[in-house]
Amino acid sequence: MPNEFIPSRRRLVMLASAALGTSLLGGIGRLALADSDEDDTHFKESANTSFTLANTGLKARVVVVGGGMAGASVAKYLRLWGGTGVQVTLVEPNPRYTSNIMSNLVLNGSRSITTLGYTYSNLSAKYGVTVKEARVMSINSAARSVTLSDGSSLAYDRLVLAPGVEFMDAYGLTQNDYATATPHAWQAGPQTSLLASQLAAMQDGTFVMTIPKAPYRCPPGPYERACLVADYLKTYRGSASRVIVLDENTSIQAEKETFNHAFTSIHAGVITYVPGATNIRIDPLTRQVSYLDTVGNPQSVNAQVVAPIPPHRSTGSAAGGWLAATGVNNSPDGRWCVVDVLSYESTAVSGIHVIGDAASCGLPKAGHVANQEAKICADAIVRLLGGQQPDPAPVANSACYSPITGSTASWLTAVYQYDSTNRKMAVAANNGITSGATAIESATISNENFREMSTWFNTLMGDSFG
Amino acid sequence: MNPLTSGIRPRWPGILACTLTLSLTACGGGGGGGGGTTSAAPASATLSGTAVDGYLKGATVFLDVNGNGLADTGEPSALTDDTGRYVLDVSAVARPVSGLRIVATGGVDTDTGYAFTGKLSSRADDATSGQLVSPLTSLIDALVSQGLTVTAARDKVAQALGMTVADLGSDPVAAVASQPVIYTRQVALQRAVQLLASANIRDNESAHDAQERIYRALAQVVVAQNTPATVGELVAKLGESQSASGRELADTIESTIDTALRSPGGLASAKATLQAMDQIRNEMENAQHYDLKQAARRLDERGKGSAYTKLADRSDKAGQSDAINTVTRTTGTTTTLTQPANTKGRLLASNCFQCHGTGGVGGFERIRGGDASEVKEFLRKPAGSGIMAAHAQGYTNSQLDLIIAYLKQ
Repeated sequence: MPNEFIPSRRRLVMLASAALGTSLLGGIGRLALADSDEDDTHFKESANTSFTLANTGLKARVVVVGGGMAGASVAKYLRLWGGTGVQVTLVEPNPRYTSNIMSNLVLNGSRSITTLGYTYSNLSAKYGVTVKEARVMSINSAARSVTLSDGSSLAYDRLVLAPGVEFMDAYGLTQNDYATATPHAWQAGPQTSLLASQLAAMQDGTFVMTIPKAPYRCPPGPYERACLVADYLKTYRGSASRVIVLDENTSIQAEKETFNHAFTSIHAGVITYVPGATNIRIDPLTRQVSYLDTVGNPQSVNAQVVAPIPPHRSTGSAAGGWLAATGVNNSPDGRWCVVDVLSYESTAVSGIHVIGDAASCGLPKAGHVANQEAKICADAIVRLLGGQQPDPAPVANSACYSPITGSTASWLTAVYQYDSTNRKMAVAANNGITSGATAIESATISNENFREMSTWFNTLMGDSFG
Repeated sequence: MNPLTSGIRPRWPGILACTLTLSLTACGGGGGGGGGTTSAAPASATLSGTAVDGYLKGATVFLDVNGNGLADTGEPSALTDDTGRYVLDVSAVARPVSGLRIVATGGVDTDTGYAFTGKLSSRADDATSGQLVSPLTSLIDALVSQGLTVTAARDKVAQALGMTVADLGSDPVAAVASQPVIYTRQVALQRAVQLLASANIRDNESAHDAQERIYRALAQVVVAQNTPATVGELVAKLGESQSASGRELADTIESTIDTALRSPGGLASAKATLQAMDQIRNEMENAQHYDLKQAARRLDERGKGSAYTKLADRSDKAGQSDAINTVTRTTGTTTTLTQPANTKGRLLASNCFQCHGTGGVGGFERIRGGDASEVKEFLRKPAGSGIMAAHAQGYTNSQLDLIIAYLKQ
């Protein structure tokens, strides 16, 4: 194929692999860089800036469990704002975090999974966070201590749980099926690579994906996945390729305008969107998928590749789990941890804060939001340690970019103000007014947005891990 | 002796003393008076000072007693320490030291980490310490070589560059925060001279000799200069080949270093930028092709970046700022910033950090400092016009004021 016919997606692939050779020299906490464009500058500017820790005179021990977006951010900001006297220990079993954000771009080959890796070295080197590579076995909230998988235990004055989510067996599938046959790939890692290779082996086939009832991690993410996979399949894996999106919700959960346009125009004829799908059953061996459609009629599809996003729950919250043993998973269904949105302290157990996807706080489960929850929590803990009350009117925010094709993207943003009457966070617009406000999505799907997406991503990761 | 010396330690005590005691002494001749009027051998047996472009570490500094420009056996000589400081033992020097040349060569420029290939000189005065050897003292020395007295040479250089005589004697690295121009002028001057020396080197002439010749040619321009000018403007008036390139280099260095010094990275950014400018200059010298922009482009092509090209383009300030950020991180320099002291508004402002970097110093746009209030411009735009407009309008006015106040600290 002559070079000039190489479409942009392939060029991206080539850029990404070309960058790998030198990228290991990049930012300290960054394992490897992505596309070799200047957007990485932004990450590294942050990565090369560090701040002197605040001088608060506070002395305390804080243990943070989980090194994802929320956990890394809270560890960093507790040190930054709490000062050297606030000892922060981050407990995380993995030596690196793989970003879920941007991981849909692994599916179409435009990013490699290694470019999404982040270590904790900046947190320790720049901010003095103690990183403990271990798993939590149990929490004694009365004695305020945590027992770890290495047999050691850590005493705490405040405990922050940021354990993320685990995925439930659903649609007739088990954890083993997810790992080997029908990957959900909703936790970036080996399943992401597995799904990418399955997609790469398709030819004029049908890809079926499912979306669980809200709340789930990253509201626009599944729709973004549908778009990127459709774009990839129709371009490279045969024009007869089809994508069927079985949504257990009755409508698109985020960026309705954008994804409606994408499904009915940009990827028209490729994507079939089925809202309100029920009774989904998936055979991991034959890839046959059956379900009841929007109006309750039984349907059956022979898919080549199936990626179900199963319902999730706070990690450890299933019966017998370490989190369940603490009683912090106090939502009615026992899947989430209800918190006071002023401090993210559990409404069930004092001294324990829960942030990120595991928390039930009225905010979307997403990395950018988790980062801000972490800051609100860190600020509240610093105030509480100093004998003050948490900020009575915190503001949280969300911004995200979603690729719609291999070179275009949309965005979505929202600011959340504290509604003191209902003690909840509420979307605000028009000078901070919550009444009638909704999250705002981009008017266009553009290349410019796609470029900005890299800046957003790199800076967000820098603010969280750098 | 001097009431000012308790608060301000002048590098050239003679200058202040001279100003204050003008009615008592002429302060002429050998250059500075140090309160005394005759050039007697110094009471102290040492002569110390600083060799600086950036501070020169491990440079050889010698007192050119016989005036042949070389470090001869028996002439006081010493190596500089990490901060460019040298101490010469002058006890064996029979004649008065004042008026002799102090020469510095070799070592490492600690601002760039590169070997120093230049040659700096200065005329010793009566002070036994604080004798600066810098690009500006080299220029003064070149004027003295034209027959001017040290005092007249200092006055002339100060006038030609729009500086004060005290500026000329200030340690440029120490002055960088308060008077960045003292620093930017020197580093621009030295590099322009080295570039032109490279472009005009003669057969059988050493690089040091060529530089000295360029300094002397520049001294003639200075002598004829009656209005304040930039280094670039002076260099442009040289009758040497590639003078225009020398000017382009000097102007670009002055503007990028000034921008870098004003960035949050401050001196660290300036050093990284200077390093990058030295790479561009080396590229020109090695290729013997003295086009700044083309050299920058070649470096970028090799490194698959665009920072050098942006640095070299003075017409694009934003691009230069961008490039300064790039080179700052490329050098691996970690900039440590102090958090704003007043924490009111801190949590609110932290909403900005996901996209503008921790503390507001990265990402889409730096918002720490004076740029913070730009957020209000987005209130006038339709929410759907862009992500920042959509975002900004989620905050109340008083919240934005708190954010701005925090970031402006």
